[in-house]
Amino acid sequence: MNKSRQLLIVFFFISLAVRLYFAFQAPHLSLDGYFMERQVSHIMETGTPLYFDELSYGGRTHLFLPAYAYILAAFSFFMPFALVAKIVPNIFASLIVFSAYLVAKNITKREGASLFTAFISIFIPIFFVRTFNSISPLSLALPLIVYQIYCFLNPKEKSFQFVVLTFLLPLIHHSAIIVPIGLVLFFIISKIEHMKVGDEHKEMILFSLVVTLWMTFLVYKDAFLTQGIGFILRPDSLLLAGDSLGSYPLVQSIYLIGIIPFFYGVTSAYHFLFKKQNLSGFVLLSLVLTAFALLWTGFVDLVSGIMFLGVFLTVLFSYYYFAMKSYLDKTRFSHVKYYTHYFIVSVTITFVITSIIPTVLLAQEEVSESLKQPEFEGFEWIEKNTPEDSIVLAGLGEGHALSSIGKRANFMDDQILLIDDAKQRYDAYVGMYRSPFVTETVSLLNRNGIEYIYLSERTAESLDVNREKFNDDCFKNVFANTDVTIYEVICRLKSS
Amino acid sequence: MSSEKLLNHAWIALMIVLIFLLVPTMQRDAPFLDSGLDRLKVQGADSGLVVRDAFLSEDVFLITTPYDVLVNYLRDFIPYEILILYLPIVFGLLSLILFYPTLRKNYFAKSEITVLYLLAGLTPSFIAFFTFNHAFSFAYFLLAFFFFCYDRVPLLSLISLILLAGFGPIVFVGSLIFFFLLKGINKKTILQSIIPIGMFIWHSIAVQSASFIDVSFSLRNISSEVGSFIAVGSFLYVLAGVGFTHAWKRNKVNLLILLSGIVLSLFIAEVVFITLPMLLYLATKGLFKVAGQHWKIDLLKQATIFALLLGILFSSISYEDRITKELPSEDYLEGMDWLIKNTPSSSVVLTDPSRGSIVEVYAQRRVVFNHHYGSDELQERLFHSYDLDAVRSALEEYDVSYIVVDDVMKKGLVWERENQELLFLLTDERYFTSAYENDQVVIFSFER
Repeated sequence: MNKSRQLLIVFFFISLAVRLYFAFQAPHLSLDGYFMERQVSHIMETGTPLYFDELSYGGRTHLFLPAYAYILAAFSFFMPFALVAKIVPNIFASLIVFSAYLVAKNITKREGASLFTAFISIFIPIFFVRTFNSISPLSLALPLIVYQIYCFLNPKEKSFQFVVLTFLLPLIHHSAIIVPIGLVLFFIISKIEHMKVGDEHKEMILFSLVVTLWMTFLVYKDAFLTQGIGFILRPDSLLLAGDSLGSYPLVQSIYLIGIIPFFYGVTSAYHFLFKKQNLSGFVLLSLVLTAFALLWTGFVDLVSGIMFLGVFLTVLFSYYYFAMKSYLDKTRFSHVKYYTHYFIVSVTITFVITSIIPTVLLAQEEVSESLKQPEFEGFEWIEKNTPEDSIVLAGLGEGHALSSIGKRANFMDDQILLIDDAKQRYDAYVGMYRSPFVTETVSLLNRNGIEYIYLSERTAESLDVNREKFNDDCFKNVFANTDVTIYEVICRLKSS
Repeated sequence: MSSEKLLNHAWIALMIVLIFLLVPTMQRDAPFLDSGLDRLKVQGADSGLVVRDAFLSEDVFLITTPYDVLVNYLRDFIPYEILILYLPIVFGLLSLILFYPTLRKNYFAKSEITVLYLLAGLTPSFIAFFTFNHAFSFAYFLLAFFFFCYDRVPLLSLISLILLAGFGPIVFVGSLIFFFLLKGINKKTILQSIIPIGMFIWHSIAVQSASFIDVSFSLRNISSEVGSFIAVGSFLYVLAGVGFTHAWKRNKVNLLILLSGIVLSLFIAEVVFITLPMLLYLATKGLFKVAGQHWKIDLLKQATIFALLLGILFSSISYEDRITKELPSEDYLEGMDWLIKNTPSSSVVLTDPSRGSIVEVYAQRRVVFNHHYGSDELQERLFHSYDLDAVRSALEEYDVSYIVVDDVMKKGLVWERENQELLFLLTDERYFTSAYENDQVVIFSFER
């Protein structure tokens, strides 16, 4: 085994170790992981995903891509799901090391630059933070998408893998559509720049476009028919902007991508666009532009979009590293003894400050944001002490955890696709927590059949909940600990 | 028989097209398109160039097309119900057959024609136009007849073009575009088009009171997969895109017309009358290009063709599945039957505009709104208010006696919740009584 391979394997294990360290710091999953947890559990019990969910919105149809849930369910036959949820996604996410190396090697043809890119791909802040404890399909989709790009760049040797990935990726995460769109853009940019695109590449572009389109229509047929083309513009992000789905300003986005990969990735993109024609560079550039366009138009949610930008810019960064090194080789600096070491050390120090430290800080924050033990106990209390058919009001992000642990119907959760009255429900949800008036709150609770209110500290803070009203006789405090209070709704308004 | 030889037999494709056209006809009792309902209104009325929509309080006029004249004539010999179900299918098949010589003359190989027929039969627009009483079925037939007779019997050809002027601007302009594209713009063709253009101008002046075209922007109009009933499927666009790259250098004008047509169809859905044949032409060329060209990676070629064909099949099957469930369903028609039998003929019915024509045609009752008429402001006043007095006064103002509500209206089309706005008010038994109810429809009577 050559030295590069050994180093790559070391990087892989470094990535896995760091990820697992943080994953096991958190007692439970991140809140958004509980949707997948329920799907995997249902597949293990029945063999099929939970398409009709009686506990979400009091009964609704889910529209989701099942491949990732099946993969996790397969692992769950060999070890407890609690371990699968912590370990397997992190193994998948750590594969980014190999994919990033391969694409960087294609761009730079240099071992050093490619290995360095592989190393920094471990610490792309947003990718790390959003995949180490949330069972996100992106933990698998992103490394595979980068590998798919590698296959595209090597059509003769990797066409079969490209075909397989083109079929598989749209079943793992909807944002896989970024590749065919990016490749079409690559074709257009190449034509404008008078760069010849090989027949194999044209064939791959057509193939990926057709298959992805087909898979997208197949899976989202109902959503397209009921909500039209507008549903791909993510109505949920429009509806819930500024709430739990989060929205980051530009500076924070750069911080989440990593300052060094962002600036030097953008520089490399500029270089490819205006100075140097390079097939791999054009492909990466097109994907960066596509990710940016999809993010801007709202086609992908903010987190996924920034994640894609982060990964693509990191791979593009390899070119800058290579160009910088080549430039230094030609300067007087190259006569300095060990100048290569100085260069690598200085880049590494900058990288540690701008990427590793933010990653660690954000990961610690994410650990503290995961479901806490007192919150878990609150959900357990609900399961043991409330009637099975009761509807519980919980925070938007807590809906899946409520259904998963508390086994009760939530009033609303963050999956709003195919929900006709999402806007009205969201207004009612905010009203029930925020309204200062007991009568209005009870009226909304009665109208929506809600019997219990699960009020956690995180919901109280994010929604600026008016707690005073819950001291009224209409609400009975039935459970309380450091983080959670559960109220039973006692009053019934006659007119509602 | 090898597949290549099989492709030389266009009649096999015609049989498959026939099956695809018969599926919705076998599974439904009534048209699924507003335009089909409009035809039912016109065909029943005393003929003239325009017919007033008898069941609307406002003056809305519908154009009597040559198709309606033909149906009104033929209904003396063939039962009307049979006529409106099967006449469009006959026109569909005849159109394809009559286009055959024209296509051959324009360097289409036999196998290409067979594939074009198959693609047409699997295209949602084609299914929409050639099932259930759509006037475009006769328009396409006349267009095919026009080209068929052009060199054989010029007089018949001229008559066809004159008749096409009676279908309104989209069909006539579309026909002229095809005429000039296929026969070229020269002294002869310009002279031949003078009389039809004159007829068209006369017709336009004569029917000026009728609303010609509904213009409203909607992204849904682009493809059947995103909700349109008359647009083509997305995979036809992909195939046409491949054909487009092939044909781009040869005839940029044709392609610019097509692109303009696609953009225009976002505003006027019926423009698909013009884009459909062009897209079919390009898609056929595209499919042959994909299949005939040597690919560097053979696996990709097979997988791409497989995915494309599956995609096109998916478009048409999902479309046929959708139209069989479209209103008016059997339950809906039962509700309309109740209205006919149990309410005075002068009653006015309130329902969503998209259901207005169904009530007009099947219940023979006047409505407040239909898909041609109904202001947003009035809909807001009637459907989206909690003010009982205001709603009562509006209902009285429009003389409404019955309100038809269905489950789709309750689940997002008009309201999102069971007890929202007018639905909430309808629970007030002092003024509203549930007079009829089945699984899909509830009819409330309103007491002043």
